Amino acid sequence: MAISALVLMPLAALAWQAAHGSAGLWSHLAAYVLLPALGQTSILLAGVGTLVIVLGTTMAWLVTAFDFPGRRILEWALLLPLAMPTYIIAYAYLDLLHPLGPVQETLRAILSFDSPRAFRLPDIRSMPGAILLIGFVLYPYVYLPVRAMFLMQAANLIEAGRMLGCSRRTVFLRLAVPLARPGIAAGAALALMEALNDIGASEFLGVNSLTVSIYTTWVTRSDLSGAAQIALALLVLVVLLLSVELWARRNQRFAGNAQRSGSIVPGRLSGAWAAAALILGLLPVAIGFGAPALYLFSEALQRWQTSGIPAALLVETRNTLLMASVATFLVLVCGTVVAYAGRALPGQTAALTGRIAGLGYAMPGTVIAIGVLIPVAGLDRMLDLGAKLAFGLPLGLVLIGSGTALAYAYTVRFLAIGTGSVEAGFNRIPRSLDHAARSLGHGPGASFRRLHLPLSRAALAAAALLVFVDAMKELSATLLLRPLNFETLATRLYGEAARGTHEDGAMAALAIVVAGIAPVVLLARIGRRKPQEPA
Amino acid sequence: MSRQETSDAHLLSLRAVCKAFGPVAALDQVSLQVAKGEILCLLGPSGCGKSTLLRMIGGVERADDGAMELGGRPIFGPHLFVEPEDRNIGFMFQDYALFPHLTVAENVAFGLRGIGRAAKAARTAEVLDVAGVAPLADRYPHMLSGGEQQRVALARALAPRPALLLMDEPFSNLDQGLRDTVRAETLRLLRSLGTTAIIVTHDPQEALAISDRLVLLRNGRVVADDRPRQLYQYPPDLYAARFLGPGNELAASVEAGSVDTPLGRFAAPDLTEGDAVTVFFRPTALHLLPAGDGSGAVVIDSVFRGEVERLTLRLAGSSELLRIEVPPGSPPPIGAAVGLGLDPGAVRIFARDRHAKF
Repeated sequence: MAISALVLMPLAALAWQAAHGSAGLWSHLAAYVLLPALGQTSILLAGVGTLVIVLGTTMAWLVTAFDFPGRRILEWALLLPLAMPTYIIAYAYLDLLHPLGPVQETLRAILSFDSPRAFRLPDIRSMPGAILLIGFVLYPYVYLPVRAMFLMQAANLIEAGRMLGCSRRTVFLRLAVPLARPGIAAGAALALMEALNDIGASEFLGVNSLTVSIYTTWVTRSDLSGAAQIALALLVLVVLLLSVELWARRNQRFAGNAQRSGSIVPGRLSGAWAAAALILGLLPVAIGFGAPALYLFSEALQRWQTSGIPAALLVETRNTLLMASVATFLVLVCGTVVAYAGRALPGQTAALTGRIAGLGYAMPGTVIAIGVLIPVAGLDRMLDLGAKLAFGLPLGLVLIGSGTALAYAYTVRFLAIGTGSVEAGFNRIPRSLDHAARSLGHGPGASFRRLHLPLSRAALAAAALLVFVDAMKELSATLLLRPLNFETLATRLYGEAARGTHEDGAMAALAIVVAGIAPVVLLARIGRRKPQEPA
Repeated sequence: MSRQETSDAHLLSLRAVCKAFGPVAALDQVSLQVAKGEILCLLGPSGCGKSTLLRMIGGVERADDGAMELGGRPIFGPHLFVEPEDRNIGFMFQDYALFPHLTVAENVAFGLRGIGRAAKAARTAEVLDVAGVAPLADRYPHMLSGGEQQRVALARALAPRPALLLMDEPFSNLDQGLRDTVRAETLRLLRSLGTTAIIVTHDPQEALAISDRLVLLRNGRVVADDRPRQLYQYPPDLYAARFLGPGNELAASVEAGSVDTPLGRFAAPDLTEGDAVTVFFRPTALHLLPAGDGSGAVVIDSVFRGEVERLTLRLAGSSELLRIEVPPGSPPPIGAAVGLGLDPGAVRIFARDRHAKF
């Protein structure tokens, strides 16, 4: 209960603050900030949505329906772009594709043009550029569930299709894709939520999305109410996406019930076809992960060779690890409480708490940040005033200053990951084990300690890893809520990029990407492990 | 075995226990008593509420209304709910619910609390030995066969010396061959320890074979509660009669205090004149006579079942089919005319309007 209140408070504060903004300002805001931002965001979402669906679905089909050398590696390599936060890929490509950058120089050399004026690629700093880059890192959100659905689809359905005279291509379009529709919709909704949450890429690439407007309205115009109003508008979009995802998952239940009689037997490719398949499969990996990672690595290496590891980077790394650890700890504790309450005390309250705890992940970081800022700043002022009255000492803004506000925002945002993973772990424990422990004289607490904790240790570790890395990568809420002069790797990178000194952020970016690979490996392992084995 | 010695003849008593899931009444005013040392079977078709009742006695589910007492101590009532861990009731689950991360010995020791380490080890060894699973002590549950898992689950439930042992379909996860052996062994063990047990089952043969008392549930209500032999021979209604075993039924009506059937006339003193009734008797109540004696019938079908021959007969001058079981040997061929005799003491007559169809 208390936990769901913690999640709901930022939302309530947001609505309250939005309602208190002056009406005159609101119409101005609506006309000059909200509407254009809404338009830009819609275009961005439509583009990214199309791209992730096409990429994710074709790649999933490629590795499911065909067999070629390198397929096994490709299966998990296709997940790698997940490790690349949108702001880092944008940051990397800004430099890579700069008119004077390595790619265009090479192209010119090949095509024997001698100056940028004679030949240049369209500027990446544009809406199509943003769609392309964001799409190429977010497609795994579609790839992952769709591949799972392809694997689950009864082979006999596909075989029936083949025998009725469909080629592999028509089977894909007429059977496999329609059957995987729930997975496609759910995956696309998740990808779009990530796209909505993105602040770095949109800003670097000059797309004035809602998230960017919230940031600028608050930071540059110091208009908290205005920011809250835009945040509310953003929230409406999120609710729309959320309902798409829920709707898709409702259908998934039917699809999952289809009889499972082995999965599709992949068709063997050889020679030129195999090579073509491999290249096609490697393309998104190269664009979404390989090229930017390589670039970051070489840049970081150069920096390191010329000037070593800057002292600031160590401090930032320490800050990042500290904040991520605190967030992980809080999320795990809260998530376990919510998940265990849902199990041990079945009923409306516990179920509702679980539902509410899930809301945070759907809320973009900026929305949560604004929502957290309002009550916490209020509390800070009260504490400050109280301290002044009681001890004659000004406390200053102790909650924001100490990072408490940021830790709170992380907890709200990532609670769903914690709750979800822990719940998944608990769900693999048959309920009769709980009852057995109770009938053998162990209360709920003792049962948890002796039964659920040891049996869901792996799930807890996975949850910790996911939360930790996500917190490390988090940019938008961190930008808004970090204490003064407190830099994490992500904000440092943002700062460098904003200043146009891209190269200096390479080390920080590389550190984030390397950390981001860990959960990808975990995901790939979970995907491959088919039947659940006993602990 | 039981830790609590009470002078009360009833170890467990339930009064008007009710439970509803949404609009569906899972249990409706269930009252029953269990005597110390008694083995009671809760029998009924799936969905009749028998497992729910067991779970409420165990405390893993909460009743809506009613009262429960165990060994003279209230464990459930208005504003009273004793948590399962404080009830001293053992529970054996259908899937055994062995803890996968603990060895057999650790599973058995799980419920032993508040005693010293040495006492714990001694009790664990003792129970493992009694249940015949001592050699498996260091194995993990997934390394055991179904029968072994069953015995470990039993040992674990018995280890804390529960006042009452609840078993939910304890033999249903075993294959047919193993089931009879394990069932016999389990019963021997329970009886030798004097354990009071409530066993849920949907198999009437099993219930008849193992219980001291049999409680038949239907749609959340107790419809019969008696010793198994009594219940089989004198079922209180047609539902109970049909559920407990195969039978033959003839439609008739009451005239002048008795019921006339092709197989004879049977007294029906308690039934109202003119009532439509069903005459019920087990296949074993019929016997074959030479053609011409008794009631005439024709053999329609004959199935050899090993221990018995099961014949299907059609009564002369009617469309009613009857089943009869005769010792194996040389049954009359299909199409043969035979005579039929019926033991009048084995005939039950039920008014038809009550549980006519289900």
